[in-house]
Amino acid sequence: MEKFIAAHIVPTGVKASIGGYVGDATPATNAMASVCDYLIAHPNVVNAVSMDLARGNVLYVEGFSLDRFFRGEIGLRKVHSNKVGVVLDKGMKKESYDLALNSIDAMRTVKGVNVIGYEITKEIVDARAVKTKSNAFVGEIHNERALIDACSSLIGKGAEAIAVSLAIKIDFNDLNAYFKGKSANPYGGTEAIISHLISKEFGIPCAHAPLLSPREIRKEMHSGVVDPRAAAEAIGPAYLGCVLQGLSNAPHLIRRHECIEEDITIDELDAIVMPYSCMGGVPALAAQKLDIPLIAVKENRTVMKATPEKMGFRNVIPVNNYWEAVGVLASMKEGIDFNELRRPVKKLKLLKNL
Amino acid sequence: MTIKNARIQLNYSGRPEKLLDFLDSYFETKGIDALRFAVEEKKGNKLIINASIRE
Repeated sequence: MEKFIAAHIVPTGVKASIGGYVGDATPATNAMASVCDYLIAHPNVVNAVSMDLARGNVLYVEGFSLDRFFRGEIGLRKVHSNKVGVVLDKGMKKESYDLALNSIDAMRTVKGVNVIGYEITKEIVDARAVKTKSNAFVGEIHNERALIDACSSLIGKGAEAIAVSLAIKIDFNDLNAYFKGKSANPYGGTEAIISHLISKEFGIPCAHAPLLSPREIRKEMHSGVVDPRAAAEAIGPAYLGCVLQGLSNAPHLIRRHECIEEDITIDELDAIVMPYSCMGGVPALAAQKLDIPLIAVKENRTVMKATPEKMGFRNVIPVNNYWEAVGVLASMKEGIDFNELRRPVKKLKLLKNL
Repeated sequence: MTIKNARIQLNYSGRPEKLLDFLDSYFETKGIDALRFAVEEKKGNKLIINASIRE
């Protein structure tokens, strides 16, 4: 029997009310995964600082690679484990490195993640958060060569996946607003382009975790009771934890012409679930091109304005919340027309010959 | 090389299912290496796009 496979996307840095914080889309992801054979998700959806509590059938795929999957350029090959290499930014204080190294060792000793070692970049990568006119966060990198060289070195030493932890310059006012639930995550957009860059250059699983300055560490640990969705940060900024857990068995990215029958390709994708206002990215555009059902969740609000109506999309299944999304996916898996779960029943149409 | 953010306005009056190809073609024709892009907003035929570009 064919596997039922869906993808759950929550774009990074757009103040998504579910998934715009740290791992707060995990319950929705796991609920949907419970009615799928596999659910493809990206790090932003399930990364929760020191925790990654995604179900075993959630496939952890970085955003740029996910775009390539949606374009039909690569397939996903499930693996039991990956050898992970870690890149740390140059120029940080000892306290920052101590936290990062303890996070790595915790994942080795508690989870059994196979970490081959770490490297510190030869120069500061200089990553910065940038706020857009729509109040989303994107990022800039001013010395990508330093990052690429460190990744290349680790891959040469046997790394099958790369965890990156860089310092990201942010405005502390944005961090304060984020902890109060009034702003998008200021780190998110920059993290996305860091991992996109590595994915593009090397075609292997990767993810990013912020490498905090001592001031940022103190800020996160002493912000009082924060927005519940950011609480995973306030209990300890060991960001490499979730990334190493996710990468430990992230699927390998296989060029389409090299895929074997067991690999997952875009042809097998049954549905994509996304926030209602985020129809302007590659996943939604590819869904429209390939006529893949696109379940658009209204309750997951963002600062974006690319709704299905404005984009003129036709293959969209609007749902109010993730409860309904789970129901639509379960119906699809069972081969039931989900419209038949509602009333009134639509009148049967007489189809005219052309 | 550096990666910078750009805001781009384009006109598009084609079919929605052709939009991804249109945007890919735009970036390729202009020689723009876009690591990440998304249509933030669409007003009539006007697209407002945010892109992370390698320079």
